[in-house]
Amino acid sequence: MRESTSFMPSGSASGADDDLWSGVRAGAAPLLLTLVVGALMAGLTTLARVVAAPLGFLAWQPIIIVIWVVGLLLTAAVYAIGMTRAWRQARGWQAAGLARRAAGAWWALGAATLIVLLPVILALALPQHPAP
Amino acid sequence: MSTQDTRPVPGAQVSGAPAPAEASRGARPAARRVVAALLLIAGLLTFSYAGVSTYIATKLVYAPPKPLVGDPSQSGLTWAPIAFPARGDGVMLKGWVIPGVLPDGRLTDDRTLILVHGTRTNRTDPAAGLLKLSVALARQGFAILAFDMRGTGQSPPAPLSLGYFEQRDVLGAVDFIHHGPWPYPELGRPRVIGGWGVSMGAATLLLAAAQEPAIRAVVSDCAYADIVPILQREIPSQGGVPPLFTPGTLVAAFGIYGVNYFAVRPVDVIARIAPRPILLIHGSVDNYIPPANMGELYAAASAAPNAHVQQWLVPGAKHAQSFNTLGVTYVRRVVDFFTAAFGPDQSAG
Repeated sequence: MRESTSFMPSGSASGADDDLWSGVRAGAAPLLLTLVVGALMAGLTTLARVVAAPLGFLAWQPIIIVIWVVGLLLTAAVYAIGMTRAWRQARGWQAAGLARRAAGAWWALGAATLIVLLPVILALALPQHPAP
Repeated sequence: MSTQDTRPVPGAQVSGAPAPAEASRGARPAARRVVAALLLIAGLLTFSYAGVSTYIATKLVYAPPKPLVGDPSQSGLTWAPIAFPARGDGVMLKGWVIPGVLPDGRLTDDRTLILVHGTRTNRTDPAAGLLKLSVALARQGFAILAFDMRGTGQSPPAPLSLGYFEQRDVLGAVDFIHHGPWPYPELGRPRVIGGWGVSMGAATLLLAAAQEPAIRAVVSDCAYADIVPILQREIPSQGGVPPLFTPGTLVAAFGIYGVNYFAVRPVDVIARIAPRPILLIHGSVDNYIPPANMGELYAAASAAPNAHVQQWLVPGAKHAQSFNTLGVTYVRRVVDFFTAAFGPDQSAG
């Protein structure tokens, strides 16, 4: 007698695991982290400017520029790594049948795209009134 | 012994494997790729925008200082070098004091005028004729305190903020007149202080006078009412970039240097100068700071109770060229304005 075997693949869906909002949180986390890192680097630039002011402008300007640029690069790196991980995580959930969780993550990543693009959108959309 | 047919039944589900309908729920592969592409494009666009804006901001706030061109002794006038700290942040500024010369040849500092130059130049600005004007006013009996604003001339390097930080320099000049080591102690401290400024210097003077009642009368030549529209024109034209980079540049300038160009709005504060008299001058063919700026400043200043405001549109004069265009006529108008405000020289004979 040959018995059929059944198995449950690891991480298969159950109702409790397939939660939309946990997916949204996971998709939004990289953006929040990016914003926090960006704000911290901007604050660090301001602090460095205040501390370095007694050195004179020609001395503190390069220091501040380096901090600012490194801050931009760091923020970009946090963004890239965080979004990549969230994207792969969402794909993994989808493959595991956690469709609702994956959907939450996809929507959050889509919203993150818009938020990240917001400075450029505002720069294009906000009216300017240049002098003639 | 019995056997069971273990061949799969078409349409039946194998236990444990997801149904075809469940496997297709959620983002299609194409949609996932679209999201990935959008995330990549958004990041590239925004961080590139930030990088370019940062670069432009560094060019906006710094220019190598220009050397002084001449000094008052070339016109036979006595003068003394001075140094004083800006109010608030203590940036040490360099300048000079030229005593006024009365008709009988006596020196005086009874009525002292602070001369405030324009952006990216210094107290001798040959283009605007600042040294010549200083000499001319001194010969009319007004002492002149002219100095190099931060980041210009002989003063130390500093971010050029089009008036945002420079107003502290003008206030420092007032403090020096009141409390500093006055180079002509035998003449006594000045009785009254007036201000004359050109272009950014005029705007800076207006910002300073609005918060310092000791500046008793103001001549503003070719000031802007609000610097942002000027920057919205100049950043694309000088930077060779699309206008969309202007907001990013202004934000970067604030983040890196602490310069808030949105606060450089003399039109918002000029009314506070009242009842002290103001003479607004502008060239009729000024294509750098449009003459409409004088109209805006005049309207704002006139709105104050007890306002004493005059405006003078100089025919045929380009930006900061009213003195060069009119010469003696210009000097006479300015002298008459300050004499009406301060009265005649009252120094002891």
